[in-house]
Amino acid sequence: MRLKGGLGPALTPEALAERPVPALVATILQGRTGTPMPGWQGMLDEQDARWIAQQLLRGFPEVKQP
Amino acid sequence: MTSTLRLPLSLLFALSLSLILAACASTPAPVGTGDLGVVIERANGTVAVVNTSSQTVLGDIPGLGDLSHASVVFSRDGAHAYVFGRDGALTKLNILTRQIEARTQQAGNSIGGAISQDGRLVAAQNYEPGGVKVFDAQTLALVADIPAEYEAGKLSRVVGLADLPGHRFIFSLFDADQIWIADLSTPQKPALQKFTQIGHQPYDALVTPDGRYYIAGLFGEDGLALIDLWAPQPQARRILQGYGRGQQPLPVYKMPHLRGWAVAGRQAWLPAIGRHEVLIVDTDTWQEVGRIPVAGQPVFVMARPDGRQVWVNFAVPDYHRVQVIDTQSRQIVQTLEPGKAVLHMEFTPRGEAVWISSRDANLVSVIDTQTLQTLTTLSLPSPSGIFFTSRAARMGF
Repeated sequence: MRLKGGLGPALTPEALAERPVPALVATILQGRTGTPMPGWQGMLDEQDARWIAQQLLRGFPEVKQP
Repeated sequence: MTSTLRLPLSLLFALSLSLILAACASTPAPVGTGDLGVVIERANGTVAVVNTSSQTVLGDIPGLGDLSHASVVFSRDGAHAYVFGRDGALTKLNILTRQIEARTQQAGNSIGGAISQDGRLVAAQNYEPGGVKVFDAQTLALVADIPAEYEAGKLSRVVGLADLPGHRFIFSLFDADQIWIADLSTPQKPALQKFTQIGHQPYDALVTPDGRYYIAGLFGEDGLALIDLWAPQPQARRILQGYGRGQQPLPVYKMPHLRGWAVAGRQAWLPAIGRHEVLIVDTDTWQEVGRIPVAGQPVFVMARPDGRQVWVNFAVPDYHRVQVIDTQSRQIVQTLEPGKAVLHMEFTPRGEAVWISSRDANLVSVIDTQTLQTLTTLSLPSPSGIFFTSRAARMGF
């Protein structure tokens, strides 16, 4: 919920700052081989993934909560 | 103050006595803890205290930090809940007074914990920094720090922590493919026993109800790791190799949890990773004896306390469903839809009812396990884990 990571890495705007949107979109859709990150293309299309990537870079509203 | 000093001593005594009596009169009658429990409200750092007999929420305990992934163990008197928060905080609650009695920020990122057989030690398993920390259950003072250092300077994230008889804890190292047993007979000097190359990426584990077997699920390969802790020389071996995670693993939308193990009779019921299946394993031979197609990727596969039923919930996008399996016929007898985003299930001590949290529906459903009818629902914001005090008496909980 605070996107600070657990089994996976943190997904805060700071942690993702160096990553271009297309790379994030690819990770969301295809996952990361050898890690628990699944590909979500069975459930999301590219537009969805792009929206998520942009929101992550902006910081989802929940991240700002105490 | 000066006027008080001038009062005769006898009057002062009478005054204080009446104050004490007044205090006693307003104190509620003592109650037991056997039908109490807690529900995590994951979005607002709060725990709700519930009663499983009256099926009501008794009150809230706020101020517990990030509970987006939280778990709970109980003291053996059932009056204290130890809450392990995602943010690495460990909090000791008194669920009778609904007060925080102790709290420590013990790690940066934590995933759960365990309490020792004698109830004196509480252990937390941490992702950051990777390792296990052991605390005095009374005070939460640090007793032992066990970094999961598997190579010089490299700490593994720790999963699958459970208590074993004696002052021992067992846990798995996700990044190191190892299982360790820490013996805290001398608490300040933990003795470690390490099992290496147990299989790739253990992601969670369980101890069977008798404390004999430790089973770690493997994310990185097709199978599970098993240790017979009663063997003269315990060793880790693979079971269910090739059960079907396959050469091209399916996407896993949520890691299954093994901790709510389901050992029913001589069978263990386990979630398959990625596949829409529950696996049935014979606990004498550790061979697969069956598999049941289910409605989605299983997350929790939990046996009713008597073992007659197994209840299963699922990862997104099938997480509005719960399926009930009859362990005798191995048939799904009912598919329930208690609400969106079912996160957890907990049986009452003898299993006549099960409580199910539906995060996005903001409710907890209490369901009769015989009739499968909903007895009542409780409104709670973003409920996740449900934990009843009967866990205090069970190994591995």
